[in-house]
Amino acid sequence: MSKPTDLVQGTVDLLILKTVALHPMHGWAIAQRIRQISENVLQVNQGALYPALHRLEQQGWIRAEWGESQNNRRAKYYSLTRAGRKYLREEEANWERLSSAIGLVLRTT
Amino acid sequence: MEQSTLLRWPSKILQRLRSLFLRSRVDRELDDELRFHLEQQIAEDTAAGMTPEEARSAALRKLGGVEQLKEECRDSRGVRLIQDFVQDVRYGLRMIARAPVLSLVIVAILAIGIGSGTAIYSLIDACLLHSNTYPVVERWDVVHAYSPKQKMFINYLSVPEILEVKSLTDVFEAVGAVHGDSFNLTGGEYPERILGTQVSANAISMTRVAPILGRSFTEAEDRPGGPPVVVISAELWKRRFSADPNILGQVVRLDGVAYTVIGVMPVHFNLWGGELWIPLRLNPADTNRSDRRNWIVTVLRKGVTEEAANARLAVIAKQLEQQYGTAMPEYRGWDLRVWNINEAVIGGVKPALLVLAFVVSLLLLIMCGNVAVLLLARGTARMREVAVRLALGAGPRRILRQMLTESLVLSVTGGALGVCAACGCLPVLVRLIPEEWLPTAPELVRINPAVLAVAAGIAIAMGALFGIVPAWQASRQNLVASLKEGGSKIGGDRAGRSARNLMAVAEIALSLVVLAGAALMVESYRRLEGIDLGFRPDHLLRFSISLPETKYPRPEQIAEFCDRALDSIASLPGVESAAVTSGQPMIDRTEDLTSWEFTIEGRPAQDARGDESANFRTVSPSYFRTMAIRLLQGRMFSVQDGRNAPRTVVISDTMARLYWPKGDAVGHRISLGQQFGRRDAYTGAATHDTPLEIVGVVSDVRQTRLLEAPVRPEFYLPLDQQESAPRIMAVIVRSTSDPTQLTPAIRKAIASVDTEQPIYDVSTMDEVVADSFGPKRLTLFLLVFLGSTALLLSSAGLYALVAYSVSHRRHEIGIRLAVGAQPSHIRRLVLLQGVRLAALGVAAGLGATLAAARLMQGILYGVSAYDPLTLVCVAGALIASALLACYFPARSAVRVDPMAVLRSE
Repeated sequence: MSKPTDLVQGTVDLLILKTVALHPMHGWAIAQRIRQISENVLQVNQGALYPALHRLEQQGWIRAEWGESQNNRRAKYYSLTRAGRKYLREEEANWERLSSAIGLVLRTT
Repeated sequence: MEQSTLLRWPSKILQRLRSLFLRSRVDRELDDELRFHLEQQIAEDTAAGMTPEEARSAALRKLGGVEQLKEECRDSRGVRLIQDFVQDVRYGLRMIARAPVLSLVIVAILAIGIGSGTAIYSLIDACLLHSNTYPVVERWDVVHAYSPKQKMFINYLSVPEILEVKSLTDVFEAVGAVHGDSFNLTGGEYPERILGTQVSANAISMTRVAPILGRSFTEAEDRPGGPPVVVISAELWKRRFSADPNILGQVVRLDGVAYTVIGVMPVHFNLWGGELWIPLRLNPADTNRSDRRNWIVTVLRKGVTEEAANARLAVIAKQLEQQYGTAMPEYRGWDLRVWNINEAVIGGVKPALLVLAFVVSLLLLIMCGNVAVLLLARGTARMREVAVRLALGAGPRRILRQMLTESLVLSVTGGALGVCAACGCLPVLVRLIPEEWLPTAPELVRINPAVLAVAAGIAIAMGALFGIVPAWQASRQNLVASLKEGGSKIGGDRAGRSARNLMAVAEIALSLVVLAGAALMVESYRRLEGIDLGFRPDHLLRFSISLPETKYPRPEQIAEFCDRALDSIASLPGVESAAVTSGQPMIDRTEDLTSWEFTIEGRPAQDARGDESANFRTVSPSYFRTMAIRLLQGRMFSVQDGRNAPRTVVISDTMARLYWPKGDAVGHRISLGQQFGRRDAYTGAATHDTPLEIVGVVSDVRQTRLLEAPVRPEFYLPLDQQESAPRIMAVIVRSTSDPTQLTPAIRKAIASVDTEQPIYDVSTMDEVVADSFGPKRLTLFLLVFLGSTALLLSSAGLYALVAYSVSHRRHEIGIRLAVGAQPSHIRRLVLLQGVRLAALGVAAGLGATLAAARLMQGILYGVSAYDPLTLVCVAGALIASALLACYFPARSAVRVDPMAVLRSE
């Protein structure tokens, strides 16, 4: 297995937002989910995850609530705010544009 | 996007507040969150087959340093700045507490500097900037004329002249006329003399101050024959009418005429002084150009400068000269000018206030220098500490910020204490100024928000300034060298030392400027006190009396009243003699406003000097004896200078010397021409053709409150011989005992002649003289106060500097002593260091004093601003205090124990 690709910071933000858009999730689950969905290609560095979460919360894109986890433990659940949802849509569109542009360049040369 | 930004704001702010104020809770939650994460990870890994220990260390490894992670999370919450600031302030307070003496000295210096600065600034603000009274004061001007022939300003102008100024509607928003007057107010318990002003209808509205009751005048009331109406001041309303809410429509009697009250102005409304206002009722058809009795007041249009207004007025003056110059010689060379109301009102205090403002700013500079020296020394002493912190990973910017915060804590504390000190000493300061010299009411001089802002600005600016230099120095140091040398010798670094020395030299130089100013002022005051007033002020009582035209229409009646009143006063026990005069000495501030043209018989009407003019007084024969004015030649007036006797005049020494330099004035004759100034006292003065014979020459009398003003020529006329006598007179009584005891008896004596006649403005001549010294005394007091503060501050600064350098050279001094240096040599070394700085400072200060001499000369009397003796004394005093300041550190240097120093290495 090749080493999982390092994620640039902006990408982590986008992935987190997209992940919590489904339903409220705690930090560990967010990391797991990103890894599962990308089939182990994308691995969020755990050291970068929490500062990113706190920054996103500070910026008002996500909000945090304490809740019960599946194994009845207290966990901090993050969910998307309305502003965050809007921001996510814009960022998704940006990403689409960027990746298709890069794809275009790669295919042509 | 904008909308979502707005949407996020409340939650963002909430988050920040939460992070800031619920810090421990947020930290705990962070702990919980990370612990949960670790447990999940461990659970998953154990499930995959790891032992719990392996799983734990693997999970920790994966997460990275937990503490570092927490720090990063805190960082991303963006509250570091504020938390750091709180930490800095707390740390700063701790550092201040660790060096209490140094911090106390710094705070005290700041408090003294800012306190005196704030107090004097408040005074200047209230007096010079006048921010407390009329809202449009910077555009309020008086229009007056300069007559080169009279060599004086003519403030009173005639109706046609007022109308000509009024025609410049594009220059002036409004033009009004005022005339200071006084009235006998009757109808209450006792007759009272009240100052009032006759004003044109628009003059009150020009101040933009509205009446608190009723209204001001209408144009219809300001016409000849208009209804008699009066607007009164709030002060008069309260005092005389017990603030009767139904005052409007009531009738008051002024000089026997009934006036209806139509308005009450607010407290401190001060249009031309006085307590009531009546319409001036100028007759626009009046064409008499020489009947000048009103001041012109104007409000300049917005954007029109005084220069522009003067240019337009000059055109009018030129036209007047062309049109009337031949018939009315006073129009020749006339120059109409505007004169800002502030300057017109403040007059004599202004140079003193400017000098004070200058001195206060010097004191502030000295204070800045002082605090800077102390903070620089402190910063250097802390090099090692800073080096340790830098080595442990603090960023230079963080260090800078912390040092800045520390000095800000000091300066803000000092500033706050300073403002408190100012609040405490401002009332004392204000009480020291005679009330009539304050252009504004004493209770209006207070610390206002603008003053507070200035003080706060000074404090913060100084904090920032002094914070940056040591911090910058500290963050640039060579870490390894500092740590290795143990910090004790770094104090000697060249840049820091020369910066400190420069500050100390500058401080001493500025102190010398302040001290020299104070010393010159003391010398000037000493000479002024010894001035020859020309009369003996002790045992003299003076009061005013005003004879209404309705009761005393003819000059003989006035003369008769005076004769009878003087006789009855003179016969009182304890009275030596009594006299009347048309104007007591020192009634005017800067310039005696009386002026009468004259020609000398036998000389061409206009010789090289042009028409002659002089001040004048109309007096009773007993005047010279009562005032103890010395007779130099000829004789004084006597009863023989009666109504039908040949007309006579007595002239002053200056007039005699000026026009009869050979000393043969007595026996010559002069003829009087046109008369100017103080028209209120000389209603309807007529000129006549009979020449007057000079019968005597008397000593000069100081006629203005500005004692150092040059003495103008002056002549005296006998009251009995005048075709029109003054209505407002000063009565002067010389007593054999305390003159103030005489007042009740004198009131009775006057009442025995006319029961309705009030007397007013009763005071002793000593008080009048003391009042004239008032502003000088104030400036003197403040300058001496500021001078000693400056001396204290600069000595303290020098002491701190030398003491600091000694403490940092302990090591070197110890070695010198150990290898055999004599203690006297060490002492000389230290003293020389301080004296060298002091000498440099004194030299620089002498240069600065000579440069500032022009400013100072304006308030000096009889002493040059370059007076060598004073300057040498001041320089000597400064050197002496420098020696004293260095003596104590020198003594402690000698006491350094070489063994102890060497062992501590």
